[in-house]
Amino acid sequence: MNEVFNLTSDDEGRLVLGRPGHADEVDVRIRRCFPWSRPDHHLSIRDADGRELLLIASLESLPPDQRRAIRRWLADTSFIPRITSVDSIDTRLGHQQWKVQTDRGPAEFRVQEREDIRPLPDQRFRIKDADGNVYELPGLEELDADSREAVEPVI
Amino acid sequence: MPRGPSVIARILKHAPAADVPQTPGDRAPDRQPAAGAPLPADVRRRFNGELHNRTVLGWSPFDLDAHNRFARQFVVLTHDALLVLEENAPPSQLLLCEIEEVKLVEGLGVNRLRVLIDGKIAADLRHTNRHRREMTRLHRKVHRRLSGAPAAEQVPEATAHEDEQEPVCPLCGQFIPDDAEGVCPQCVQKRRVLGRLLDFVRPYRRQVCLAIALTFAASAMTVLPPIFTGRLIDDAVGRFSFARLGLWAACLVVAVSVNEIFSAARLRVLSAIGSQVTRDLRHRIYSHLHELSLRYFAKRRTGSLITRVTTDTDRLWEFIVFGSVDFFGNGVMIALTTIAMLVLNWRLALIALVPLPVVAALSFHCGMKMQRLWGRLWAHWARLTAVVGDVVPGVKVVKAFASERREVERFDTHSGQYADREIAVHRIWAGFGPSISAAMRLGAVGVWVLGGAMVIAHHGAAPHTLGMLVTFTSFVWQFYGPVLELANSNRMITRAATSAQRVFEVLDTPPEIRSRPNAITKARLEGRIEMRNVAFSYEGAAPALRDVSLHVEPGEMIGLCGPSGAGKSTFVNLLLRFYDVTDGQVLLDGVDIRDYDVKWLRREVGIVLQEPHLFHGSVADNIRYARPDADEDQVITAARAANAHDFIVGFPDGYDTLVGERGQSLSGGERQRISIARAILHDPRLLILDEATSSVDTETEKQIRQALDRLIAGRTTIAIAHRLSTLAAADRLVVLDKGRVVETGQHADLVGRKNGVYARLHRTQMETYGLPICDLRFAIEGREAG
Repeated sequence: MNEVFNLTSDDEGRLVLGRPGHADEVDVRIRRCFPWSRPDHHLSIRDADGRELLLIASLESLPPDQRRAIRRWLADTSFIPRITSVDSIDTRLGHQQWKVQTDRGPAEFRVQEREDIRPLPDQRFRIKDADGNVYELPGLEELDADSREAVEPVI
Repeated sequence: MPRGPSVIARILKHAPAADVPQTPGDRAPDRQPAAGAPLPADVRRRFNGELHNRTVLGWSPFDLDAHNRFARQFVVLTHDALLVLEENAPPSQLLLCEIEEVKLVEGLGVNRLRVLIDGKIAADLRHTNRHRREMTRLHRKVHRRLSGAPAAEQVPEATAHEDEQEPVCPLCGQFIPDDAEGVCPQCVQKRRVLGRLLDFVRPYRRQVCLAIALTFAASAMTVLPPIFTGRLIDDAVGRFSFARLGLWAACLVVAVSVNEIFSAARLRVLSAIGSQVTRDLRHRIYSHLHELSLRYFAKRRTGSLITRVTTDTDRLWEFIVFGSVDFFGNGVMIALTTIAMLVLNWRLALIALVPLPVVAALSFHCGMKMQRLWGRLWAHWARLTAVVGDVVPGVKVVKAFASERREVERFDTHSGQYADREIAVHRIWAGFGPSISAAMRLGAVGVWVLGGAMVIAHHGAAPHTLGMLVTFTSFVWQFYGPVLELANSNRMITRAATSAQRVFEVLDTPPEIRSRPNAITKARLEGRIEMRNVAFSYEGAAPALRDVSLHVEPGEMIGLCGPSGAGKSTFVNLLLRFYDVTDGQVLLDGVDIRDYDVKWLRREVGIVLQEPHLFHGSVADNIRYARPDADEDQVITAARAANAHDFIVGFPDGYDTLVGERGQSLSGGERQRISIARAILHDPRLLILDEATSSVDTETEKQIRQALDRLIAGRTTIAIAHRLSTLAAADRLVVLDKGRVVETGQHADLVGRKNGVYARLHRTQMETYGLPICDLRFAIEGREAG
């Protein structure tokens, strides 16, 4: 699918989709179809009501400025702190209390279920806390020894 | 009032602890601002200048800055402005009279409360999901103020009700976070996990005392044989006396036999206790699982729950029967042997005890390591079980897609991972055992050398006799046997502790949906439903219902329609109280649904599901499911009314036909009608039909429709359907879209609305099914005429 379109961001930071024969669509949203396994493929461009306007097969196929606009928008709207080190994991009945350092600052959160820590195919882990926020934990060998020791019993 | 970095530091310091504060003082203000709780004192102090002479109508914390980094901030609503209080910037204010609109924009983890002034984004208050509820509440308040609602409405009735519900821990008196499923994170796990098993053992304390006495006796008996052996050597062999040889041999036989008899008796008592205790545990877990809310099950894999009920309790049995013996019995034996050795010869005793610290240190170290590894191993095991549990019920799909090989590969991957972990665990294990036994054997050699030297030096004179040396070396083995077993029991204990923790995790999760203390039941439910500004969102997801208000009169039939994901099923879930509303109220006969007794409520509400679940058992059992005491006549009457009688009797075994697991041996239409019969027998005042006629042929549909008409008569009914023709009989149609009621009215009225959601759905279905409109009209008129 190679529809002609143009994605730009306006000075308010909103994405604007322009297509020949259509009025400009202001404030479009992007959803990744495979956020973890293929983040740069199959991006669904939707209007504010969630209707799909366009499906981008691959970011690579876009001109660099559009790619940048999309990446900027995605970085701006998605919040998935990457855990850089784990200070402590306090396992109590029914949940774990994680104290971590992330690339967005220190954080403390609660993990309710073992099932909320999902191993990804590439050794990383995706952790969902009790509030529904998502954190990314790098593969074990990328962590320092203390963090690894804290993390090992729970994954 | 200083606004310096020290205050900021304090705020920052407390920031990450918002959900699990350390002291009660920090606690309450961070939750539930909408309940009218005051702003945290430190914030109020810091922004005293801005807040001076202003009433705080509402506030919310929010936690992301413009660069999506964690930052603690507050937004406060006053009569004339929205104040944004940030840590590192002077507070800003947005005058309400200038604000054009406030919008909630949901993202992937970043949500914003967007304030628009003159079409421009004046403020974008970013927050993670943690503060979404508070921000949603604040948004509603701001919205009400902007739309000119009177001040009295600032605390709507619905919210007041909810606030009253805020759960407080009975032990520490602190608020329990919504997501903690009612378990106070402060108070839980104060008692050691295995210690809690004692609660379950308590009813059997007499048997336990007996077992302890037997263990003690058996252990004491083991001290005798080495002494007798020593006497045998010195007294009989040393004196070349056959009579004494016979005497000491007889003593040995008696000591050994009595010991074994005690052991056998002990094992018998203990295994009985173990079985009874684990039976009690299984019962508690299983019955507790049934009390838990749907939310709990939605998040867990069936396999992992099955493991808890079966494997974990089995491990606890093992622990109670064998682990406790290892622990207690061996402890007693070690103590007695040590005393005997010290009395006999303290110098040799000390030599024998030299390896002990090494053994202790080794087993402690390995124990810690093993605990971790066992935990991981269990996680893999659970995953493996889950794969099987997942695939077996879906075996039809697997075959249909010819993906057996892929499934086997998926299983093999998990199975292989488990094996790898297991090998790793046993590798450590394998190193551990031999090192301990080497330490012990070296200790024994030390005893031989030193003891031998003593005997030689004293020329075998008492008490340094050959017999003493033999006695002593026997003691050394008898001493290290239990020590080794104790170290080994580490493995069993860690396994049991992990299992116990998982078992108690289930038991410690209190049901979210519970009857309140003075719950109401009524003799007869009239069936009047009222939804007042109902909002609901599943955990961590976008709201499924927003601000739904609806009145349903007793006996009325409401057709609920809308595109998929519109909130139809959520609507029903709230009505059955599978979940509680996030905001607003559901009233039945004018009473809040949360004030009714849950069990009573569910008995009064009947449901016919799209995919009716039939349990393993006969057709009759399934129809009787709601009323086990119903007699055959009632079952048949119900089946007749459900147009099920004819086909049931057509089966060779009639009503006694086994339906097979999940009713696989019946057709969809048959299952459907059996479930309608079940509902008719249930005789609820309020009936919910979930897409009851989808996926069946026209003739069957007619039969089902007829059955449903009989079921609906005289009951308040909520019917959900994608196929609009199903809803033709409804008195009123309610159209949901994106969690809101967008249209209500009669079919004829709605279908005529240009750009209406219903009209659009209807057009699409005309194209898909080709059902002529007149058919629907006929159905409606037919119902009105009848």
